[in-house]
Amino acid sequence: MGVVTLGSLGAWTLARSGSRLSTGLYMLFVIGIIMPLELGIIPLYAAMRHLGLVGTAHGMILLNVGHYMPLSVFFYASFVRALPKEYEEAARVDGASLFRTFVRVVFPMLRPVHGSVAVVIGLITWNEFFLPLIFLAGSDTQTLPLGVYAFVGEFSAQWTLIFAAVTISIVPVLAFFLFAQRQLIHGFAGGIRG
Amino acid sequence: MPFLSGRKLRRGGTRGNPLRVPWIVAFPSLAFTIAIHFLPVVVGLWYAFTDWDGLSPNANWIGLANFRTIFAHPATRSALWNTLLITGVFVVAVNVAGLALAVALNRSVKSRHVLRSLFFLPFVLMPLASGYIWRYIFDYTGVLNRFLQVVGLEEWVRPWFADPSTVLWTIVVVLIWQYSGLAMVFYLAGLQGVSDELWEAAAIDGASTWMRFRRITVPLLAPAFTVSLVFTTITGFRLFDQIIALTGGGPVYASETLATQVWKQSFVNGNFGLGSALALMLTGLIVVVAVTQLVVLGRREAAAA
Repeated sequence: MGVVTLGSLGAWTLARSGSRLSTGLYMLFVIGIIMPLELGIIPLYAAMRHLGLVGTAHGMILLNVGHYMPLSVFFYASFVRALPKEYEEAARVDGASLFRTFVRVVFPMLRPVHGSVAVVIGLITWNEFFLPLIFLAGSDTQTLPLGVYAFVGEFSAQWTLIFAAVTISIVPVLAFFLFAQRQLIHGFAGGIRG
Repeated sequence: MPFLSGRKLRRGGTRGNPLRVPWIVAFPSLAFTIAIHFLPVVVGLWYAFTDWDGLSPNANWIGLANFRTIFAHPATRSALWNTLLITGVFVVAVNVAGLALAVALNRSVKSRHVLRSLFFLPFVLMPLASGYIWRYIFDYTGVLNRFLQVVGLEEWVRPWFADPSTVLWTIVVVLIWQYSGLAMVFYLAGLQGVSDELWEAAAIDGASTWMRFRRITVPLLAPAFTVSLVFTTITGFRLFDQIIALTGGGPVYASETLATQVWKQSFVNGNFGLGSALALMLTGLIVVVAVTQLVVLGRREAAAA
């Protein structure tokens, strides 16, 4: 949710502000996509431990929102650029404030992107193992991959039990894929048409 | 792919345009990005040159000692080499496979939609979970070896993941299974832009199929190449979930990667300084290779346009 709202807001600004600064900022987001999180993970862990956020769902959500922000800005930016400006112009001429223009005009027009971003990032987060392993391991808050991992550690070589756990983690994604495959595939392909 | 073309962005508005949005509106998204991506990376950069253990209040500057350890210690040295090798083989193989699938499924085959979904499916499955399934298949008493025995190829039976000479190749096979569907989707999106008229015109002019592929399809696929190559390269370098599920880094250190070593050195051994140094190496590799790809391929895109 956070990613959709803030990401679209950020991208809209970037694409429309039309200044040199926005180009630089856009590059910043692109670098954010390319740069792996491994180097930042240790300071993040230290900082979150300090704030008491390690092992909590809140901390994990904050972390994920930040982690996937550049990706969502990137998705939105390519779509915002393709939007006709006339709608915004009309809204502004009619006296709508900046905020109203965004909420009433721009945000609804980005509807196809909301779907793609939510589906793509939702899926990546669901399957994510590295971040929860570091920030949630050993706590009461567990995600499915962590559960499977712990389960396999406990019942090593008992393949029937392991397959039960694997099945539980895969079936929801399968159902989701059948339901949303169009949006998913379009979402991943979306980066190209930009 | 406007990765590097800032000009496109600026076209959106002109100076003094009432549509200009003050950049402060982007602040929340920017703040998150800086807080989660850039700030920690700067701190991590510093940790890479210290001996911090994750608990003590202060970290001591030890210069390049961590990097010397990386090259001296078998686990980390093996991790560096494995990461390079796996990524190299994986990127080439997965893009060839993806492109072949895309070209094959771009034609009006009846079952193409079903087949596309089928090839894309492995990518959406949890890497950890599908990794365990593959471990079962390649296990010494697993499906593959039993099959080889039945068909009379006993001499091929081997402990795929426990033998240092086969473990990396077996991992690459699993990775290709997992990611060729994604590469296919990238290339399919690119192929949508190749018009039938162009192909027909070239055919009438007497160009062979190979010539048409080489001269029409490949240049028009330039943006797809960029995205697919950069994405699969980053994926290869950051390989983690699959290793944990398939081998755990073993036998001994034969399948450690930089990412698994970052985790083990930092969060298992409590050697956060060394872990940061490894992470810095991983980051450096990705940034150098990805930026080179973007620049080189971006130039090719421009040439093709």
